[in-house]
Amino acid sequence: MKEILQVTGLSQAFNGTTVLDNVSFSLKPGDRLAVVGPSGSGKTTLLRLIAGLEAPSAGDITIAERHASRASEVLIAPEAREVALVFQGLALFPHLRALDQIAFAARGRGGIEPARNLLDRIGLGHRANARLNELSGGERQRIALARALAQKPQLLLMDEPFASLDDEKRAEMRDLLRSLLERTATTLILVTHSREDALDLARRVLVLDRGKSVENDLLETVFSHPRHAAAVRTLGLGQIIEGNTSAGGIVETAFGNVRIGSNARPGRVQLLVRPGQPRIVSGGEGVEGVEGVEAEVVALAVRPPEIRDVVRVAIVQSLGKLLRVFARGRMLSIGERIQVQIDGECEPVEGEHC
Amino acid sequence: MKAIPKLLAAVALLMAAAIIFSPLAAALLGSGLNREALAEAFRSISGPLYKSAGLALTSAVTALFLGAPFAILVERSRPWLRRVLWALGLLVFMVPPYIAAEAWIVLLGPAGKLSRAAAAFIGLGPRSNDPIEIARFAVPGFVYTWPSAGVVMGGCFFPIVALAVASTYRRTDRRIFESARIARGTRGVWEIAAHVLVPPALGAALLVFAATLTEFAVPQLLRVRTVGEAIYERIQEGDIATATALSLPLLPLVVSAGALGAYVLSRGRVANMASLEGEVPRFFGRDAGRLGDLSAGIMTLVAIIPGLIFPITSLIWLAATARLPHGSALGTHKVLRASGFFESLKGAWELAHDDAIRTVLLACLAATLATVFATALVRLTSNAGWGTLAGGLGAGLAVPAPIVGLGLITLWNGGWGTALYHSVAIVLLAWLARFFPIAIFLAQGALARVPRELESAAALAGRGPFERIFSVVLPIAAPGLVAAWLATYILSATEFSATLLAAPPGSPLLAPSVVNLMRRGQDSEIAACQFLLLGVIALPLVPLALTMVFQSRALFFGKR
Repeated sequence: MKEILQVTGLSQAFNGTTVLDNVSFSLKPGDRLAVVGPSGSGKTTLLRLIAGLEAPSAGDITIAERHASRASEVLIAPEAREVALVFQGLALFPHLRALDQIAFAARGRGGIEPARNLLDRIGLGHRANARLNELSGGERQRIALARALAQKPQLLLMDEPFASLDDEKRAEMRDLLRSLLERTATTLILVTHSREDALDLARRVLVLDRGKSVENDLLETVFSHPRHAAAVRTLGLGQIIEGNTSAGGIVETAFGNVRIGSNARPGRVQLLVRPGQPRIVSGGEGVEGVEGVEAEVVALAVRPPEIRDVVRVAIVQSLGKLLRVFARGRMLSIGERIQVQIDGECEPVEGEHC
Repeated sequence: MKAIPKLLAAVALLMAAAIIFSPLAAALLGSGLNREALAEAFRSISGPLYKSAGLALTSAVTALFLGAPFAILVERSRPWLRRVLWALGLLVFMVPPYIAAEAWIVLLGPAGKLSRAAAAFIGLGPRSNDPIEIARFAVPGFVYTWPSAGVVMGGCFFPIVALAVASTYRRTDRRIFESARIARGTRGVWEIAAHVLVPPALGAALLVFAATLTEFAVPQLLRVRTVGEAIYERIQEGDIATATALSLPLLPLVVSAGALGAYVLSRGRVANMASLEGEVPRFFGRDAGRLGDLSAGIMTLVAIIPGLIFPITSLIWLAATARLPHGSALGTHKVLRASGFFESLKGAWELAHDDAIRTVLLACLAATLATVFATALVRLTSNAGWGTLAGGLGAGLAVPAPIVGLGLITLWNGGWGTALYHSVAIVLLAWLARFFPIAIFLAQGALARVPRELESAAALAGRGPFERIFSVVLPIAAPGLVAAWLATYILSATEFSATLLAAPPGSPLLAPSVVNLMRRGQDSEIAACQFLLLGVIALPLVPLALTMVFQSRALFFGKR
């Protein structure tokens, strides 16, 4: 199958600040890519370049085998790219009613009837004449999505479209988007900070960090074996601790010695600690061959962000480093000193740990 | 306890209404509006009224076609250029329309410096070398017509439209234009831009229409017999009743145009950035590029031609070519007849320094009173939930200047008010009646910029009501309040119509003196007086500039 989007060596700088640095990837029709990364990593800029709203400083963009942008030049105008963009903040037109928002994009593509159908499909047929200020946040999201789909795009770009919704509305919107995408086989690039959005909607993940593409792989691969700290942090895959490699696949950390796989390089490394790996141990209870270390409880929480169940969590400190540990029913108090151990093997990851 | 703020707000509103509307009420009720006067007024008014309306319409259209493209192109230019171009555009406000009209005459009139040169260039100049024929040659032209007066006024008022459009453009999330572009291309952008930017542009143009209807000096200089001129003639004849009756048809026209303009402006729907959810990207919006900057520069030059470039050119020309004036309008003053511009300037200063000092002091007082009272009024009415009522005082702008003058004469000429009638305080009242609504409008904008949360935070930090005002509200609102002070000062110092009528004999003010000189004086005298008036207008900018310089020094070098 031919590629619908080919991005090669894409870079963008504003007033001497490099926002995007030599990013390359490609998508086949129907692919769904989640672009994740910390704030300021260039995610929105990437979408704007693909949409043709800006010319890149360097690199090429090819859409459906047509050369769309090259260095300092937009070769195909945004309106001719068959690309739709759902903006962060939505950018709905302030003077138009709900139906007119969609009809605006549908003009020249079948007119009012397809717009009305889309409005029905997103469940807002009865709100056709509602003004923007009469629509709820969720309804606005739906209108923005329908407006984008009314363009019948080959490529749908979404810039953190659900950021302002609560968890329930987000889940509804994801279901709606998935059903619409499956019906139209539209290719999707979704910029998000949310692990749930990525898990529900994407098949591939592109991780950006300080403008660089640090990971680009299948969703399952990134979730099971993340290679970069930015992926771990953004997708909430676990915690990162630092240590020094010693002989026999052991890394010395502030929380004791940790076992790693064979691919560890000597020197300073960063390790991904998955939820559940750090445990509290009583004297002599630790896993054989791995020592526990004494740490001080500095804070208590009821739920870490990476799991849904209510679990007591202790944030412990050792040698100035912090770690979250499941309390597993134990009643702890701040200032208490406990033995902590990291259970099982950890994976080394690249990138700077913040 | 809640009754006290409401009581204070009510008192402030009543006082403000009395200041603004008492001249109107006095003019309508007290000047003997009888049937004969009305009949006489309506018999003779159709011609002047058409000219007034035509002039105002031309002015509004000119302001629209200069102001809207100026705002859009300048707003898209790079930041430093934008600041320079806006400064040039706003300098137009410092030049009174009657100075622009005089420049129009000097440069483009029948004996105009540019028009004669242009006529000679295209072969329409004098047909012989006879110096008398050359001197008598008059270029057939359009300067003394109502469309020409409209263009001058539009050129002076275009920043009103530009400010309205720019303010909306700045508050609009540019992503709606990008969204329209992705969906429908350039046509989509135009469609959305029209919906977003046309209402403020039209609303402001209607305000220009209303403001032009009440302008008085420009038509007089350009010899266009508008309603204002007809009123002035009646006043000179001592026929106050007919003069007042003549003002009546203007009133509904100005009120309806002004109210419609204000309504359209307030209804302009804007995709305000603050109302949108989500983070606004750090970098967004395409740079307009060099071509955009060039277009903005050219548009600025075109826009400021009538209101700034012509007046400056005319002033420089008159000053540079000043010769020994023969038969000066102020023939009794030897100095003005001496020679050249600098002598004329010296003469003008000797002749008019009392007028100038009186004007500066009185305008400073008017601006200070208006700003302080407007700030208090806006604050009190806003606390009482009566902000709309305070905004409604803006209707006072619709009262034509001659009515303000006539009303004040009627109100204070007799009984216990005679002392005030014979003092310059009556001019102060005239200026407050005319420009207090502007001070209220600007103060409302300035105070609206102060988020309520900040005051709540200050209150939680233990600050009392007055401390909150001085430590939080005023510092944040200061730029808007300074703008209110400056606007009131400049408008007061250059006000002509009401000042001419209300100023007591023996205490003339600068603007009427300058206009009189412009009508009858020699070139050097005209230049000198204009220079003096522009100096008076620019005077408050000196401390402002000094403050900014000291602030920037403190910023860069720290306090010593």
